[in-house]
Amino acid sequence: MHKFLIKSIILFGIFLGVNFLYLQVLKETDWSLSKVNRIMQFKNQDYDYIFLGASLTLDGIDAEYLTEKGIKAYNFGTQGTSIRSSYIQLEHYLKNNDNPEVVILGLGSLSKSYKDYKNEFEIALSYKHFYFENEWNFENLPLVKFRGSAIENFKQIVSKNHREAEFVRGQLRIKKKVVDKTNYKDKLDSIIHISDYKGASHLFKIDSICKLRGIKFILMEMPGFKKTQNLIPVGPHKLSDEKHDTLTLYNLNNKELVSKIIDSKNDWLGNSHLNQYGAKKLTEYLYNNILKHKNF
Amino acid sequence: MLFNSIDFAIFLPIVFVLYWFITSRNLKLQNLLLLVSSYIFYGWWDWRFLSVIVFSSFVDYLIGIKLQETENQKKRQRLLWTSIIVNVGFLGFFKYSNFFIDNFVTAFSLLGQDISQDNLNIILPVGISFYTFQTMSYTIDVYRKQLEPTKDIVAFFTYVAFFPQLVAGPIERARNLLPQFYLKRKFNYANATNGLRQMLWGLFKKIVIADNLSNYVELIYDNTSDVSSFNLILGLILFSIQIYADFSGYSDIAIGTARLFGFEFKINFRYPLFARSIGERWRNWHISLSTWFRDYIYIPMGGSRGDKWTKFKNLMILFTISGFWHGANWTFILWGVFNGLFFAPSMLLGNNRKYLEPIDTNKIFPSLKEAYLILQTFLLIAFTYIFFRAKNITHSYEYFLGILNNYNIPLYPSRLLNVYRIRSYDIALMMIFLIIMFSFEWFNRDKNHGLYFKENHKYPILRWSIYLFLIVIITLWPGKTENFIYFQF
Repeated sequence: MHKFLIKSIILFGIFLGVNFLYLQVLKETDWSLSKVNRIMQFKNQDYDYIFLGASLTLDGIDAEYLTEKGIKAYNFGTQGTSIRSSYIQLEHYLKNNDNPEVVILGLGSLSKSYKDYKNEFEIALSYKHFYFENEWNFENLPLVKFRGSAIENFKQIVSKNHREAEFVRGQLRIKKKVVDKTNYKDKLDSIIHISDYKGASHLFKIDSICKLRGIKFILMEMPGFKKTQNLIPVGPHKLSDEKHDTLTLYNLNNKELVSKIIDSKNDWLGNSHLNQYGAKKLTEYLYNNILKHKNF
Repeated sequence: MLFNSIDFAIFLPIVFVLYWFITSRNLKLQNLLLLVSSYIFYGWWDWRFLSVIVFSSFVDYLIGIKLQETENQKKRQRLLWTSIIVNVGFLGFFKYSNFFIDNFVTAFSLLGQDISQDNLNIILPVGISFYTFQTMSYTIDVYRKQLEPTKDIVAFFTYVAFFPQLVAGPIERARNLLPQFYLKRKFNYANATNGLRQMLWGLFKKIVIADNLSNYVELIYDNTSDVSSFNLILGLILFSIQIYADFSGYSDIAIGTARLFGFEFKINFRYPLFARSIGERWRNWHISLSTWFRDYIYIPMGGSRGDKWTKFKNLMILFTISGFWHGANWTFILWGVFNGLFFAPSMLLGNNRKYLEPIDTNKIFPSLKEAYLILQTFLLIAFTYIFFRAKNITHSYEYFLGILNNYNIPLYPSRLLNVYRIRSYDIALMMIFLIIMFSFEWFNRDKNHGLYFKENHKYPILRWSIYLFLIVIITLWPGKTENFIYFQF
């Protein structure tokens, strides 16, 4: 019996050890975890512009380009993140670093036809892990909590494009090219009322901490595949409700704009996500038409 | 409580410690602990239905004693029929009421009389098909004087409700299991480690293979008009593997758990996917149920004695009942009928007892002929799953028509794969895990389970690496949590 118990405990111990090891490996190799981990440890950074958001931002904003143009920028975008997560991340960053001049949050569609605009996303797991205290329970075992990361790392092993991907100033640069085969929906569209947008409360929270520190906060609808593009002008648009101050939104998913700057055959890496070539073109447009003039 | 739940992962070590450290000196106390644990295990799902188990156990316990007290044949028969009526009555009420009401209403409407009848809102108590058969086998064996009735009420109630096999078998005969409750159990290291290995293997088959395959199977069965003929055939193959991994996985966990407590169950699956004939397949599939039907229905009917027509008739009755046991739906009855029809030729030709032993274990690969026979048997059985998995007869008909007509639909169902969130990586990994499962089972085809190792295995590091690999894969790659398929029966 003792032998059995001892061996069972050893096996359990090894299993816990594997969990610990898995987490350490992920912290180094997993795109989301390693990035959130790195950002969390930032101290006394003095970026002028920081870009928040999910994978659309992560892939689609070339912070190096802006830095070369004299704007010290960093891309904070993280896969699968939510506005709430971005808020947590920004709050933490501002506690330990210098105030940036501008915070830009890249969003999915804010147009009425977009069916998912009412979704409220949970705090991303990688954020939960680093920004909150973790309880000791089964669901918090790294092998359980970061199951999805195993797939992403598996992708990195089997796909050449993913293996060769690199982080440059927070941007995940992937060379993979996917043709946008979707069709335009071509209907007149309008921006949803901000109070209908479920992430709105956290948008206003970000806005208020920015205002307190004299930081300019801008929203940006990121470009997507043809099926998501809209006919709303680029803007700037002013969004507000009765209780809050006005938010500024630029619509970079305007059909005319996207067809002008993005090549539908060479600039996408997957569903509505820009590859490194598309990201550079978008950032170039952003710099020349919006950021350079600081007319927001 | 599900074997593949955290609740069970906590429950099992607690019962294990209490069993071996607190109650081990007193057999009665040990049995009582198992009984209470078994009722907690069952009550975790729904306390109310414990009353059915308790009542069923009580009736058969009393009848067993009464049977011993009398030699009067008529009285003995009455007692036997009381047990059968109570147990089959429970089963009929909970499982088949709505089926009979529906068919009654349909039959009348065909005769031009509309009867308006709402279905009864009856919940099927989990495991009722298993424990009623188990307790009935006790009474029948006592009636046949093949078994001494027990006066130990705790042992008998525990025999009926013993948690490892309570909800989905194996259907243990009283002759095998009940005497084990009378004997003092000693902890046996080799048995316990073998049990843990078998549990691990069962969890791998259930959580990694069956639960992941269920998504692919659902995609195909729920979209019969949108997938190609090839994919519809693939759906049958995948479901054959899913149901095997699910149910044999359950049996492995059950048998392994029992070993931890010093009990030995009969084997329930003997690698039926490697069967070379329908006969071999049925000998090795859900053995505890097949042998139950054989001993209590088929042989009393006359079995394979008599002329060819009688043999055929008995066989078809057996398979039809077996189909009906699986569920109150015509699809299951048709499934049973087709299996009977596929089985019949070999029985009528007298070669259904061929292939009693597994393929020579010295061979790494089967011969071409063996491979052909395995494939043929596998595909024939897979065909019958058109009925088994379909929602109703119309659905199975559509499925069948789809196989004949959908040859123009593209082979790769990109849209559906997207809807069901199946990516190319998932498919690649699924294939790797299937290869792992089949390889382990192939090389252990003469052993009790796929993760069998000799006691003095030469390479402990390799063995431990395999354990760890399986644990990591189970944790990292579970399919969506599904109930065990056989829970619904």
